[in-house]
Amino acid sequence: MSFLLTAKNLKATYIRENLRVKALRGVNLNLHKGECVGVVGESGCGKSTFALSLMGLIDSSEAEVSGRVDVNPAGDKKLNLLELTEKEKNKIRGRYISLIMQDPYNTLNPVMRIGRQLREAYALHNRKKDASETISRLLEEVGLGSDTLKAFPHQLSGGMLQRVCLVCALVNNPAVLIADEPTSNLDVTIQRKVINNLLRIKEKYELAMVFITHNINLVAGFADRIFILYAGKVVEEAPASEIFKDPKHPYTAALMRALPDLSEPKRKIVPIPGSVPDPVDVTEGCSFYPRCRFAREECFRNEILLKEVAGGHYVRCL
Amino acid sequence: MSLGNKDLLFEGRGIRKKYVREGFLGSRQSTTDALRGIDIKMRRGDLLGVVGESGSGKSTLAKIICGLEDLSSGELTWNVKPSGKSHPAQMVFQNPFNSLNPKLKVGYTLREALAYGGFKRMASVRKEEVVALLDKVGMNKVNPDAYPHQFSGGQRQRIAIARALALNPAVLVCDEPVSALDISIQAQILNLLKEINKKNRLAIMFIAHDIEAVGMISKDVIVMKEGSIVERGDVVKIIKSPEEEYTKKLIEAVPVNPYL
Amino acid sequence: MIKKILSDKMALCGGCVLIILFAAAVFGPLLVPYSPMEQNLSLRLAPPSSQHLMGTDELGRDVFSRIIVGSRVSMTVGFVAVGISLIIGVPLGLIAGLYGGIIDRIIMRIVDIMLCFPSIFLILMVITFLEPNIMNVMIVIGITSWPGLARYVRGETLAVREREFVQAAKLMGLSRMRILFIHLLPNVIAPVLITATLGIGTAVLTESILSFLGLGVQPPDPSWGNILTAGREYMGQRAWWLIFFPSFAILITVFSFNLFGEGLRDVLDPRMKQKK
Repeated sequence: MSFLLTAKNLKATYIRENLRVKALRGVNLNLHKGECVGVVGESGCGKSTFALSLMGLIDSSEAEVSGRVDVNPAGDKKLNLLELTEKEKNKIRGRYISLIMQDPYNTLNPVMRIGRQLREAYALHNRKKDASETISRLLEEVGLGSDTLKAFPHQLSGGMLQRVCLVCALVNNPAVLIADEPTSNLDVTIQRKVINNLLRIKEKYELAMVFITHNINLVAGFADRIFILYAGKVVEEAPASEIFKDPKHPYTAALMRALPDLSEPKRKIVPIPGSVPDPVDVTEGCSFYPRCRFAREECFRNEILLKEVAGGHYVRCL
Repeated sequence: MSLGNKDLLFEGRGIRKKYVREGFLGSRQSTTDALRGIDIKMRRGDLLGVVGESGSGKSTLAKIICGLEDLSSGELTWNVKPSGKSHPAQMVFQNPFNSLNPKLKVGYTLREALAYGGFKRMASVRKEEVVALLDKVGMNKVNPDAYPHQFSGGQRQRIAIARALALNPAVLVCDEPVSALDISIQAQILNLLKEINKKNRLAIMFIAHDIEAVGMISKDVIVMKEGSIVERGDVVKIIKSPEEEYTKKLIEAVPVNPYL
Repeated sequence: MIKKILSDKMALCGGCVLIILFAAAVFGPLLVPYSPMEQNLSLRLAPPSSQHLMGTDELGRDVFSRIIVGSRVSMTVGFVAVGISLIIGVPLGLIAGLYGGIIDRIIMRIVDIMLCFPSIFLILMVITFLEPNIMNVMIVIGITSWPGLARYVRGETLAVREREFVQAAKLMGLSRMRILFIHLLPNVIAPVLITATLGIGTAVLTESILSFLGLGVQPPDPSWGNILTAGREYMGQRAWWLIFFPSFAILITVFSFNLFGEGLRDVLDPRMKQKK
């Protein structure tokens, strides 16, 4: 089993005006070749921080990041991305591991034509003159024409732009793709198109993918394993086929009851009472405690560890 | 046009809206047909869903019904006695971060709405009235002296709904109210809207690009494509057996969990 | 908010110096060693000494005292002139932005025309027809600087006008005046205050120039500008203190206002962007 990317005890705490915002509190993740991991969580659970830390994009002036993000770009030895210099990180980012984010309008330079931006991305790791072939091939695979190259970002729709971002992320043939809520800003129909393109490319290039979202139903269709993130910690981790049949953590179960279901439009959905805890106030004990139906006093007292309850199925609960 | 039916709130016939954009240096102009002849009406207690992709004209229709934009041609007639200066249709917007004035305390915003909706001066709005209003949206324990940025997106939407309710509207027009929220929070808002509709027989127009959300809350639905209505009817029936290709496309786009 | 200002180094430095300047302007004239008008003809053009910290001018008056009293002039002009431009410019900008249409066009046409004139010469032209005194200087500076502010406010108003809470206010049936002052103004004012703070520095500078040219505060009343006038005349006699100290005072004042304004921008702008 070769790991392409391993996060060990990843923690990130932002310091703002003397407040410690504990966004990530020890997350572990192993990613294998060709695998797709879905990371599901609500706003405020640390999803975006997770994506940024996996890429080593969080500056030490903004936050304290600890733990390891092991990558294996040359196939021979492990490197901790968090310990590398910016220059070394830049060699790996884009080439070995790539990121696509939520808002394409903010990701691309509004005053530069698409073609130029894509060529620039390519030139970071390769020789510029070979760019056109790769770029046109990728554009075709996402269903965009070559006239896209001459356009400016504002001339394209959100869905088209996100597909451009996809090309940008893949132009250097990375092994790992991190997608942080790539379709959350798009209409459902466009979301479907972008996801289909993404999956097709994943299959073709044997990409390993970490797909972060707030919609568990979205990743259910294509993730191999699903991680449920709550208040900066993983509360449940299981193969997709298992987690829906038998959700072990009360939060996972509550999440599933709170989501709509098109086959039964009038089914009563039960929202989760209360709200997500403020990352400043998190305690050692279970963070879901105030909203949990099964809460007992011992849940609150001490730190609960992630335990394996069945093959590959881990839960952080008593 | 007979508006004899007491429960009829408004009726629109042949509503068209054109946007004209001045070309470069004022010469050539480009025209966009945002709405191409819409017939629509709502009665007391209706829960109408409007679904379509971006650019289908749903938001334009919402703005016209609320009087924020004028129609280019056609008619829109209201059968409601004017309640002071506030419009009989109130809107809940998509972006929870911009729906409330960030410089005003939430309590102030609500008092302003209560004052203008109740024909009184702001000074005579009692604290209990604000609490009662917040209670209608399930936020009666909230501190009204807080500023909008201290609340989450879902909470802000509820405050926006409360503000709209304070004006005693005949119709509540919700333009993609949950699209910017996490899917787990959407449930809360949708349930709230359903409850408000049931309790007060308040007509609600629910606009979204996601037919799943529309299916959860509406009784009837109209499907819009490029400025026209392509299908309309009972929502459950349409989802189960859609007639138009476009409607089928909207349904197929919804992420379905294969394990459930 | 105050805490944030304190945490920004630029705003802190600028602010500290400004507080000292304020204190000098308000209390200084009561504490000066000599009356700024007191002449001592036996000690004309004396270089700085322990008796006269900044030397004396051509009539034996203590330069230090005159500088301190002059600070009151500069501060007053700075604030009042900018105050006038705010009172005229902000409402006009708001009205142009909110009402649009022909009102917008008329106001902006006036703004455009006025902005075509280089301000300093416009000021010079106007003030030659008026009696040179501090009141007229303040009014003229205020009247020539409102157009820039109005245009800026109009731009910000156009942006805020489209935000949903303003649309909600319209649906509520609020009067346009109310929308203007309760909903638009507070959301537009932050960048305007920054521009205004920077404008105070410019106003101080303009007053100094006018007084230097003899078109502003007239002697024997002290102004940093008119001390410089004497300095220029007596340059041949190496009276460097008559040039150095007023220039330094002007420099420090304008610099501090600019520093404070920039620091204020750092505090307000990223916070506005950060708001989620």
